[in-house]
Amino acid sequence: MSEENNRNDRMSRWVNKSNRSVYYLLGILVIAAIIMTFLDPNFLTQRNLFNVLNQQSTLGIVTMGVAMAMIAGCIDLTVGNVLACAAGVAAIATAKWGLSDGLVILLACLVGLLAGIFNGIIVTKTRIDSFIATLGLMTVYQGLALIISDGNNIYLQGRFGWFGTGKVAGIVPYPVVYFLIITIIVYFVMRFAKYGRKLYAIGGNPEAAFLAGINIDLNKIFAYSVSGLLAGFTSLIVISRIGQSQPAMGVSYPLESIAAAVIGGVALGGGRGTIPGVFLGVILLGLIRNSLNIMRVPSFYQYVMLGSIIIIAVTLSNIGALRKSGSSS
Amino acid sequence: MKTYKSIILLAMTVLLIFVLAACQPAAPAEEPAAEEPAAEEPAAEEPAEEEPMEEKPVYKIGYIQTSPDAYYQMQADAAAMVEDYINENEDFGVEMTFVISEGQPEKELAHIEDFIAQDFDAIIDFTIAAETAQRGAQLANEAGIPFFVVGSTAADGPGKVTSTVKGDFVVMGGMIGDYIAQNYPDSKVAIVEGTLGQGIVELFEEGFEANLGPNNEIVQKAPADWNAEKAQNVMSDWLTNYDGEFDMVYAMNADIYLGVLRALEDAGLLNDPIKIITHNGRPEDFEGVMDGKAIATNSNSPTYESGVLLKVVTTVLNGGTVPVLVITPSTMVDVDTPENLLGWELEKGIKAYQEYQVPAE
Repeated sequence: MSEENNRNDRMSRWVNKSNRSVYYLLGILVIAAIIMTFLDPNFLTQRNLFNVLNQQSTLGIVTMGVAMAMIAGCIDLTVGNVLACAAGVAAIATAKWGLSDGLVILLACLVGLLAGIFNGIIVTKTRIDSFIATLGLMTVYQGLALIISDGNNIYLQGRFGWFGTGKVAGIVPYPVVYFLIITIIVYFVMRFAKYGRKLYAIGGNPEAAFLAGINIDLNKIFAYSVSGLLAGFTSLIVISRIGQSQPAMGVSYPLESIAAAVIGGVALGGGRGTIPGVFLGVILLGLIRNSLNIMRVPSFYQYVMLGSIIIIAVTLSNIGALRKSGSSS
Repeated sequence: MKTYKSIILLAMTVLLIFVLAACQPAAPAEEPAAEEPAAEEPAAEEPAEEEPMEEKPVYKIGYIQTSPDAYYQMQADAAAMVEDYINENEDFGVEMTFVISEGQPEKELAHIEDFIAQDFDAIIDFTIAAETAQRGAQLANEAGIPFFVVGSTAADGPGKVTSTVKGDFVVMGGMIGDYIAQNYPDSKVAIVEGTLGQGIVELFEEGFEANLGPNNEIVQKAPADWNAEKAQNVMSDWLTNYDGEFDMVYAMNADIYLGVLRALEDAGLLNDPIKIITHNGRPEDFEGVMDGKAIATNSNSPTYESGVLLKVVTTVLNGGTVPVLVITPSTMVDVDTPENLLGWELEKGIKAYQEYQVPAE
């Protein structure tokens, strides 16, 4: 009996309420990958897999920041337009001012960071609901992106291409490396660092967090700062890949990043979610798109299918929470 | 509550299965079997209806369209019809995959990378951004896959585009400029443009400006991304403080024409004094010309262009050579010359495929 208890204890350390959704998601991914391998032999090739990872890396990096804000009980809808602003500044710095690549990277990250800090201050000090506040700020940044670039695309004239198109050992694209490194850093911060614990506490029970002496406003501002910083960093990858900045770029990032985070188990209300889950959510979205293209599903149907699959994946990955709310009602 | 959630889950699963079943791609090899009763050919051919299809080489072609807007969609639909024609009549087959980049360079590049990863035989790109097409060409060159651009242009660079099939945008813009110079020599023009950076608007304007008359003048311009609603908003804003600054609007496509038309009709200024000249030769703007709402349109045919495009692509795939640039025709149409209309009927694609002769290089 005691052996069985020990076994159960060990199991519960690996599979518990907080990470059960991660295992469901992993299961879905594995099943989908097996099915796709049977449907098309090109699916499980190194090229295709790195392709999916590479394409999802920009969304993935942005989603890490968005997920941190969501875990703290906030929403950040500005990531796409902040990305566009940072991209415009980076493109001007590269093509018109002729700054070195290092300075361009710093500049883009600084733009994102400042935008994030501003977002955090607005949300915390005005006490406006974060969804509404960032919805309004989204439009502000959209205007700023147009002002910065004067409404035009800015071409990099062949410069800065290495940042988003280079490969480690000729195999692993740099964006994938950035994505993995940032995921690992965010994971350790959220899992082991005091700051991560504070974000979960703020998102899970703000009153209790306040009574415990956590500075809620400051920590939320930090969360938005990280979200903005990561959006600024991502802008560098995007402009490097496509060779230009566009004032209207990044429009799909806010909703896609929230969808990926929710698929990964992050609660919209805050206080719940894991970084491995977010990572798998991002990968699942990419896998779905890749699979639909491989199966030659017409583009119009892909929208319907993608939305349906997102809802099903979210439902399945949140089965634990559903059971709990079902039993309590 | 539990039952309710189960029902929702079940409904979503059923919907998913339904959509999966509904959108299975057409299998061209199965269709010819239905033609048996009308066959007059020797009997030996009848049992082998499926075999020639299986022995034929089948080329996988990826086609990236910018958006579901009319011009791009008509071109893609015509290409799909040409695909069916090829599979039924040629000694090779094609299997086309159509994707939409939603006007986003990132998605366009992602689709190109997907096609390369899936070992497609050729990639066709109706690019939203010339630089992205250049990047796509570089990737395709590295993979050894022929890369074609249709309806727009790739930026200059190390990437080599196998062939670009498009109208001569400089000439097309020049035709509009010349028409105004000849018929409205003192007009002041406002331009409602398409999408900047795609490689079309800039070339239109290059030809347009070069062919205007000495007394013509461009007084203002603004982009409307080929969109009727945006065009109407731009036009309405201009008309808010209108004081006779311009008497001609150059609307760069049929959707922009529709938006501009609505704004001018609402303001009561259509043809009094503001006239419209446009591109495309779609039914909407052609009817507008015939009804006197537009003075002329520069007609081209995206559906005809599809046929030419697939002729070029399949020539390359079958080992032939093609010109680096293939120009498709365009003509001016006004109320006196309706016969000049090139037309957007889908069947024009098949006609173009049948008729177009790839020039020997």
